[in-house]
Amino acid sequence: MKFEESMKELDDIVDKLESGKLSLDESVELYSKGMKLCLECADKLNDVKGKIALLEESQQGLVAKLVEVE
Amino acid sequence: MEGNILNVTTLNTYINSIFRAEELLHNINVAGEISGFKVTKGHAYFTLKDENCQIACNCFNCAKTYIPKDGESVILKGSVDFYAKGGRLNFNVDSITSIGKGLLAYKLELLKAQLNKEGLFDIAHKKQIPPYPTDVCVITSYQGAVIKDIKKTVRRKNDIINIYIKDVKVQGKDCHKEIIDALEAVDQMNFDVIIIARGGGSAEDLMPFNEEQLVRAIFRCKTPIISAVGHESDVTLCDEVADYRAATPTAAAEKIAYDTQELKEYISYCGKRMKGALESAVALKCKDLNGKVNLIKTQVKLNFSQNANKINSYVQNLKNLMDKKVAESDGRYAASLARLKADNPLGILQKGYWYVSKNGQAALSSKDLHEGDDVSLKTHDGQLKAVITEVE
Repeated sequence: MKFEESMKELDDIVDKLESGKLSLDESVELYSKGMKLCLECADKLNDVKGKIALLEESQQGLVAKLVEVE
Repeated sequence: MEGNILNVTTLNTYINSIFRAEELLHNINVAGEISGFKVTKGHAYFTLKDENCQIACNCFNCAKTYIPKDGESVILKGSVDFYAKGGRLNFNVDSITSIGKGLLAYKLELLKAQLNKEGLFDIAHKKQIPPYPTDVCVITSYQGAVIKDIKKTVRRKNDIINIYIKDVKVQGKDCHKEIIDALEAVDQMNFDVIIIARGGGSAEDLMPFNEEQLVRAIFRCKTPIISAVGHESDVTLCDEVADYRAATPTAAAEKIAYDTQELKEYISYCGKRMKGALESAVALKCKDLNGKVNLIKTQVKLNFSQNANKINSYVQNLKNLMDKKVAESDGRYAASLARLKADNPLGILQKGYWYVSKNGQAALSSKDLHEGDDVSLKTHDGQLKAVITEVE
């Protein structure tokens, strides 16, 4: 899942949990899922470093070539 | 030497008066091409020319009107003036209108109205710019300052967004075609956002971003598009059709660059909120359960209290019944005892009778005994041994 989608799902889970409309079983299940997402998102923020790349034409279409931008 | 001799001042003053008097040379419109345009201390000096002739022009306080570029076709409104002191003929300009600009602006307005009518600028078609993108494509000139500004702005607070650059020309008559090709290619690559960016420039420089084909290509994209063309004051049709208009490339970078540190804190906050929500849910269920248990207890107590009298009554009845049975049993026992007492053989012995037995067998008749037999005699208070001495 893309980070964007993970964050959206996390927001949805928090909202659902806070709505108070769930059974206890559903709450526990969503809580587990939400905490897992929290860890995944936090890991991504801690571990991944963004890159800058130039898209160049190739036989396979556009390919990314890493570049340095001052 | 014949005729009057005039000094220069007199001559130039005379010429000046002729030009002043000639109405045909005042408040007139003259069309031509700009050449040598320069501004000094707020006043513009240039030449207006056509294929055969030219005239020097002044425009005092030129900020009041349109500022043309060299080679541009314009219409000047003003008056011819002879500057007596310098002996020069000038056209004093009140206002400048670009012929090309006027026409282009008109065509642009028509196109804008048409596209608007077709719904290309409707808010309903605007895709939301995702709040946490990780892969962003910037269509711009790799050579310009734009990409540096975007990188600098994004990295100031975000170190996880990947920035992909599609290098295109952003200036020149047909540059929009290159931008369209790039846009259609990168739209297939599942980026979170595409930014079309270009630094500031003249209205003419930005005209490719008003091209109908480009506007329609942006409208067709499935990826959210941010348009960041020119400066704050420049609004192109690209800006109108894009899902989000950033006033500048830097503003576009600000739009996509969420603060990673803040996001980490937000994620942690989400965790706390979920924990709180779960605890509340559990507490609510416990409270609910306690309520039900209390309800049952109360109901049981009520039932018990309602039935206690009945139970007491049953118990009393049972007790009475038992007492009666016991009493009856007592009577029967006494009678039985009396009868038992009456039938007791020992009772007869107390009256003076003796029980005679021989070899453990009761001697019920004198015929059972013979002379010399050893017999046992039992009285009510003991036993005796005897020998039969005579049988009569």
